[in-house]
Amino acid sequence: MSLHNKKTYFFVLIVASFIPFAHAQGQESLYNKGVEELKRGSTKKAISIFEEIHAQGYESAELYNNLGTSYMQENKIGLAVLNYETAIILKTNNPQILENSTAVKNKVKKSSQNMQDDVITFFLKSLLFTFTIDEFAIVGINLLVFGLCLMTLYLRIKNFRIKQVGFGFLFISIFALTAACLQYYFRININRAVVIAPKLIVKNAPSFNAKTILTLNEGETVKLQDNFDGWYKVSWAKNKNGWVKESSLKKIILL
Amino acid sequence: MKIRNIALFSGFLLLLQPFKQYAGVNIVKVREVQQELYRGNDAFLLCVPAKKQVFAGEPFTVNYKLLLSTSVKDAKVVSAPLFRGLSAEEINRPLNFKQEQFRGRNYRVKFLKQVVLTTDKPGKLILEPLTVLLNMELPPDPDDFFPVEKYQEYTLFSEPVQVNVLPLPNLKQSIAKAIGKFNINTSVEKSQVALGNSINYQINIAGRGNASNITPPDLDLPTQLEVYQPTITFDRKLTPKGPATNHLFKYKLVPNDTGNFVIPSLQFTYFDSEEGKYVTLSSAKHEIKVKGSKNSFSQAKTTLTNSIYQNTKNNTSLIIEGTTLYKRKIKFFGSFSFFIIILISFIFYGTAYAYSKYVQRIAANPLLQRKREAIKLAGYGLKSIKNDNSDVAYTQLSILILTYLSARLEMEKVISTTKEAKTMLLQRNIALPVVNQLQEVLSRCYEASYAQEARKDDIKQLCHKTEFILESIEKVTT
Repeated sequence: MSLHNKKTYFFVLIVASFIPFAHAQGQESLYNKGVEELKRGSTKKAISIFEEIHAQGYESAELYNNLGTSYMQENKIGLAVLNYETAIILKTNNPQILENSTAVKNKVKKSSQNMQDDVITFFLKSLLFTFTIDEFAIVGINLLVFGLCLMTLYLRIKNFRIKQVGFGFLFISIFALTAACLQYYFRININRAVVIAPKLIVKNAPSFNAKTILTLNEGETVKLQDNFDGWYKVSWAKNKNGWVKESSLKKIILL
Repeated sequence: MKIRNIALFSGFLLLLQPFKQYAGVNIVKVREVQQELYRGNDAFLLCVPAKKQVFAGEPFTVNYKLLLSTSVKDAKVVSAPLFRGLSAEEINRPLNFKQEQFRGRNYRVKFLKQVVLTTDKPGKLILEPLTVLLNMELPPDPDDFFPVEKYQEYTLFSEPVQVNVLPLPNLKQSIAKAIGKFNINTSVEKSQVALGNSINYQINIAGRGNASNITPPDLDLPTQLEVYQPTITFDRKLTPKGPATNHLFKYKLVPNDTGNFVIPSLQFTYFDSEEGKYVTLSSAKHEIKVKGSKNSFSQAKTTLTNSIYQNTKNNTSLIIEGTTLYKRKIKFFGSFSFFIIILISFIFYGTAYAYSKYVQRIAANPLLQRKREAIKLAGYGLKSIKNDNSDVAYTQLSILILTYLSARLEMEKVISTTKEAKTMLLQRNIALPVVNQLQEVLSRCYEASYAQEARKDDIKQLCHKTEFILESIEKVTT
């Protein structure tokens, strides 16, 4: 094997090891079918197809967007907002999803304030959700192994170029593994929920007999603060919180 | 009066609060009131609940009222109940005095506190006392030449009152969303409508009691009537008789066919706290006559739908075609193999690093390197000489021993004679028997290399002896 061939082989080996898990081809054709149904106006069929894909454990920002659109057509604003919100988390900077989300949110009667992310969180989220957790982990682990191998090689062959590449690999691997950890942490700690009941009465204590503070409308987003005996403590604006029955809310779940 | 809560001490009243929790109610903080307790009949402070027996979840009013038949200059509320663990809503109390009879006497009544309480915990509920400080007019002193108005400060508090909170009977608890007394009324805007036009259908649930949890009822309408999201109006007022609520649900119905259709009666279940049972009310049925042609309907329906949401077909930007779907569940990250790969990689690198450092350390010290090489060479050399039956094997063995000794004993020059070797070994505290054995092996080797007949010893035996000697030297010199 010539030196040139050796280099090519090494490069192909590295690239091949970075290829993440194969994506779901069968599910994607089902997704396209759902899109066709939605275009035809058969929203109920489209919802059942999209929900089936989701139930099988697959997700994408586009899937959530189309589910949101389907629910919007079915006049279920709460579920529409829920799916658009999830889509935005997965693809923070997709203008089409943002436009759709804004359109549906404009139709929601507001009792609460918009709780938007600050610029740093927004940037961090868009960076974190570039790849899935497993993709970040695979890339990170591969780069770590290659980096350490190169560093070991450098111990034997004192070639400065090898050391540079090894350090580069290790640096990127640390970044990828940190991103995987952060995304995991973010996914399990999403504490937002959307009101799915037409009206949601907020009480000052977790009891039906407690004083009513406010009535939230379907589609409004709240922050979850606590959970007690079938009740959620929610916050709808800064320093404003109360208790609601958990059946009237749907939590944004990403894991 | 429950004297256990009060200690009379040197003519002063010491209120010791809280002593205990009454049915989840915390009484106010420990407080010392330095005024005399009023014991006359000219003033009373009463805690009057609207009911002594209520159901869990049923709101009831409690009045704290001051009864007076004498002149009072000033009245201050010293401590008010906190009603912890209860839902308490204060009502705007009447400011004017009222006349009321109490124990056969007429009194002027002042409401100090009016509150609507609700609890969902069955049991005995003690309504804690309210304490006031009264500046009361004293009766005229017969000894005074001129009648002068005299006032004195007294403390007065209401007696704790017990209210029994009964649990709700089981069964329809899950479907009953209200406790109290309610009515349901339904109405339609018009009984005749043209196809394509909408009609308003209105449900009104009004009454007195706890009804904050009523949600829009599910309508069981004929398929020819399409129903849209209701608009909800909720009104709640606190009155001295309890909270009065009014729910108004306005539905927009759009007929999609001509004919006569019936909006069935609606059922509403609540718990009647006065009768102590669940009551199901039924609303009236409504008949609607739909006239007109189908064309007008489709036009109207499109207009209505568009007014609520844009049509999907006309707004395809809402749909995103094509996607890459990912498995939501994490397979690799955090798995056993994930951590094992990381661990093995670091162990591998750590070992390689430690080895390279060791090699570097040896390379930096020529004596150490010589020692290491001597051991290595001696090992390899003995192995090859063992299997060599040629004449030169004896000479090789003697050279091997002397080379090893020179390196091991860190000599700058190679030791060339047996005597020199012996002296060096003894200087390094090598045991005399070992040194003698070495001398013997070297002598045999010399003899054998010069005289054919002297090769009586097998080379293998000599090698074994040499191994033993070298091991002994290693033990002492390491």
